[in-house]
Amino acid sequence: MLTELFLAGRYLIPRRSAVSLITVTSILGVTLGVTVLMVVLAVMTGFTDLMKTKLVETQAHYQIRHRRYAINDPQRLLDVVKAAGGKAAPVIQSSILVQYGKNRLDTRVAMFGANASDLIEHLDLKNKLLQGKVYLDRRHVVISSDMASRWGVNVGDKILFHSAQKLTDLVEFKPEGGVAISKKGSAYLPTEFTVSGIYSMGKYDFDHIVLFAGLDDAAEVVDLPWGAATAVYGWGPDAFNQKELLAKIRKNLPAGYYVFSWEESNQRLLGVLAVEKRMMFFLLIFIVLVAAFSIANTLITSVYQKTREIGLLKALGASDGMVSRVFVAQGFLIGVIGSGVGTLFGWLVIFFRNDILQLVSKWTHMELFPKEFYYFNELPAHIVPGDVLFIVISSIVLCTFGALLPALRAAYLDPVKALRYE
Amino acid sequence: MDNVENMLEVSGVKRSYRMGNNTLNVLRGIDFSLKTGEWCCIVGASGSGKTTLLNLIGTLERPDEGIIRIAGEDVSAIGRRAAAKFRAKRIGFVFQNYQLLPELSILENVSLAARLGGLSAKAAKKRAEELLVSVGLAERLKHRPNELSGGEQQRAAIARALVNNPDLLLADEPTGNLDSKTGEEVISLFENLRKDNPNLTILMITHNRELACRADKTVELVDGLLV
Repeated sequence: MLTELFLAGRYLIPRRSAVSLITVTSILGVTLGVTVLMVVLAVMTGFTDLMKTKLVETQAHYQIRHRRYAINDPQRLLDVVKAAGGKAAPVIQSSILVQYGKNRLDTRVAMFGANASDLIEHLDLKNKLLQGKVYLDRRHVVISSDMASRWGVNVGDKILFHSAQKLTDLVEFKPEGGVAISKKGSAYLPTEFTVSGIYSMGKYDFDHIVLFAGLDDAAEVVDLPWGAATAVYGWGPDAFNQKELLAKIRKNLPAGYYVFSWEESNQRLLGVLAVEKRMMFFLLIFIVLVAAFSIANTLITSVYQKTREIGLLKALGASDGMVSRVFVAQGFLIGVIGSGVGTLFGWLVIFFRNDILQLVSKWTHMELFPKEFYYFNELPAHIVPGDVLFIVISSIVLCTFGALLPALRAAYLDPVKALRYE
Repeated sequence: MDNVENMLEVSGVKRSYRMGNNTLNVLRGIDFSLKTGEWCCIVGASGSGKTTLLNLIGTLERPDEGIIRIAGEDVSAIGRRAAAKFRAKRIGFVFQNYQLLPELSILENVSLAARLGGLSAKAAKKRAEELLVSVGLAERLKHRPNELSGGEQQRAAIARALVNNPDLLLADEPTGNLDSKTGEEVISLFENLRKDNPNLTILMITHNRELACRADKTVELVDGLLV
């Protein structure tokens, strides 16, 4: 095989010129494909990783809920989690309407009620604070910077919370049709809160809708008994490896309760990201496939150009198999060199990705990754060695297969006709 | 190789080609033999079948009928792979237009043939170097064919043909592309080679009757038959 590789190398890099244009073109096709594949997959992996990190930062590692009701005695569940080796906190989550200014209403707000100490410990809220402090007693709330700018409020300003539950309790459907004030309905006043702090988690959809209130205040807003919760949020030592912990908790939960991990609650999102990554690979591998066709074309031309040389090789005793291997080796070498250079370029592009993005944004006057749609200020990327290996092997295999047809043609050339070929 | 009396035996060899609806009988029954170490020249007009006969003996194609034995081994019906192996080790070719690979230096050209004959890369290089030095190309080892004169290229081609110590050297008009002086040098080289390798059997095609006279034996091919 060394002789075949030697000849293949000489055909690819002829001595008469420093660089063979045909070889360079073939290699560039593979390089381009591998570079694009590597960059896209690394960015997609980085994006997925960042998403996971942000999800873990802004959510519990796992949640415990009752199948039908609110949790009136969260302490029982806290004890179960503690016994299993985790930490937990009771929380109240509910959609609310926020009235700000004179009569402006924001209908898309999620209230996250919890003890300030739990939020500081588990969501690192103190370090995410931009202004004010994490103070949630006596009807104080911490809102996001996004809300602050949207509503035009600042630390010390007042906002009103309307409970969707209380509003719906006010009216009922009449049997004869239409609606009326319900029997248990009574006039209700929204709850007034003072903004004590402004945070930013750096996760757009979270910052857009979530504000923090104290657990007792939240219970009052949604009309839950004092000390109750809608869920118990739990945290373990490792969010990415908590099967054992969850199994222990699951085993000791009282009837009617269930526990689910952050991966399960974000199953669809994570599934979509994984599918997107696979799809991108299959779409972008077509660049390498086209490069393989280009290699096939180049080598078919080469077989015609080298017909006499092929005849000579056969006259000298090269077998059909050896002649075919010389051409297959050319495809293989193009694949190896193209993949190698592509991997290097890919790494460079990934390394300087943010500088490149800034330049492109400057030239085009366009924000390439608007913050409203993506969860990052800088382009994330994570090179997974397994991905790179898969890209490189796939590319080399495709290039080698691209060389098969010309190789077979060369193998079956009649040496006598080949030697006479003009 | 066992020491055989007849290095080459050709008996009843026929070869024809189909040209559309017509059949062209190029060789119509060839019988001849060459003793080990003999130098034979085949002369004949263009189209008389000289190159076809050489190709058949060189196992590059098969006869329609007849038997060809080289060193006692019937090569007239061997398969492509066996024929390739046989050529690599037992037959040396010298062509009119040298047929050196343009991408390789002459050292690489010769050592490639040695590698095809089964030598390791290192041994092949050493052997090629020795032979090229012996044909007077010591200063030209790293040169590519297009940097050499016709005579030098043919000397390199002869070195390549001899690199695996073949039983039979087949030369198709080796001086056809050379001027008379260079052609004479090449023929002298053949004569010297015979002195150094008394068992080397040479079958040479030529148009040059003067040259043919210097061989041990001359046969003439006329319309596919030896006369």
